[in-house]
Amino acid sequence: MISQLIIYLIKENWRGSFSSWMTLLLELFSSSLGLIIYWYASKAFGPSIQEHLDFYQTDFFSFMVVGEIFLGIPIQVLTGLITSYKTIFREHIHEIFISRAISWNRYFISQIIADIWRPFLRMGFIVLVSMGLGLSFSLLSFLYALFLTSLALISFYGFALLALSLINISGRGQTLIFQTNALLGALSGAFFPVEILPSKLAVLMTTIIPHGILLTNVRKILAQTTAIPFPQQEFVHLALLGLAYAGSGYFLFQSSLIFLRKKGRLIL
Amino acid sequence: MAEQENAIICQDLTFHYHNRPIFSQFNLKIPFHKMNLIKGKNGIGKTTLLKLMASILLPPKGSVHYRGIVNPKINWLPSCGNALFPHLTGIENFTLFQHLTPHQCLTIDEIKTLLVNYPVMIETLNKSLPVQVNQCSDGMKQLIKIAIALSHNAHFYFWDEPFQNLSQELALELSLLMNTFFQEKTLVLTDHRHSGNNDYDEINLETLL
Repeated sequence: MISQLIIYLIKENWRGSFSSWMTLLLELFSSSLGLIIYWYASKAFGPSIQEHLDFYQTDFFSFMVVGEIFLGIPIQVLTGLITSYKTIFREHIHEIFISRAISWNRYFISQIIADIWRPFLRMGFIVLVSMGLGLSFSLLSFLYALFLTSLALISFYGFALLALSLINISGRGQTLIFQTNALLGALSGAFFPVEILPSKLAVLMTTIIPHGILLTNVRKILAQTTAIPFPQQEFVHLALLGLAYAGSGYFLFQSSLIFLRKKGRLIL
Repeated sequence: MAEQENAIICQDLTFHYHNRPIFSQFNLKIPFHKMNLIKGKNGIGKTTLLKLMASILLPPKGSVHYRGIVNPKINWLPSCGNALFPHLTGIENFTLFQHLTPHQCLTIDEIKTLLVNYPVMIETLNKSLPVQVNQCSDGMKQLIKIAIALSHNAHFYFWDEPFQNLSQELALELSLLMNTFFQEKTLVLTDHRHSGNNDYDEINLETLL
């Protein structure tokens, strides 16, 4: 039963992440610190880039908070999956996975569902605090943006599988992946509009990089500058990209695992 | 040994770690329904051979055949690492592996029935199951691992150092249990603490290489 599996993985993640309630409070505290930085950064630099933000009908503070909220969910999924994969290797659980022909896909998807509460908890907290600081959007737009984010999770899952393949082949790469992820987040418009980037790079970020496609379209939805009725071009774009990333990611992941088993390098 | 009695046939196995050859055109036949002990000095490749036979490692050259079965169910008991989710209790790990495994597994009550004649094992298992793995002793972890392995009904069993970290009483009871449990099953194992309580077919790797 996959529901039972998810419950046990939630327990594993919760106990691993929050050994005490103090850890949870510290996480919320760190989110508050981030918001304070965004608030003062928006006061300092907002006026100089406001002309680029007019397209999204927002101010600089709301712009950064939206980036934090909607990119935070898939990035947490990606990093959570990499961390749990490393634990599986460190504890030699993967040997049992291989011998019993346990489905990696089933485990990874259960792990993603089991881990999703954490970015949602953070998002809820940030939204509540930010609304007090001037963030505003309609509930319907917010729900559509969340739906788009869920759809983007397929691409990020594929992205995570590509990252795990790199770890399998190189034996390392976790830090590189986290840094690449942070760079892609920044270049995808988490902290500044993609229009500031050279035009070719901006096009690349908003057509094949899931971070960029997600953020650009979430911003449009929240600003209500895009038609909301389903199905939308953006949804189809993300769904197709998701299939491409997840398909190629899973193929590469399985190939890299075979490579590891042939090399005898089952320790990461 | 007649050909039809062989459960597992390793044919021309070649394997190396980082250009260090471990096996080169290695051949071995494992008989059906026997407990086969692989012997040899440290570092000779006992665990590697077990992993190759369990298809955890894949040989670049040569092959492992399972007689009469295309996709055999493999039971693997690892010696390295805890092979358990560290923040879950013993029973949670047991149930989690049941849910992960695509085949039918024995329940914890069925395992306890299996251990009914082994009081030290039952007592230690009962103590270990409600405790988070990262708070268990090495012996408790080993017993949880063994319970999880026993729950998985398979065609072939590969157990790497099953007696490690177990007290003398536990090791004695486990060896007696294994004599009964593996009567109609094929087991290949390594064991540095071989006590002579089990009727193993011994495979001396040093003489075969």
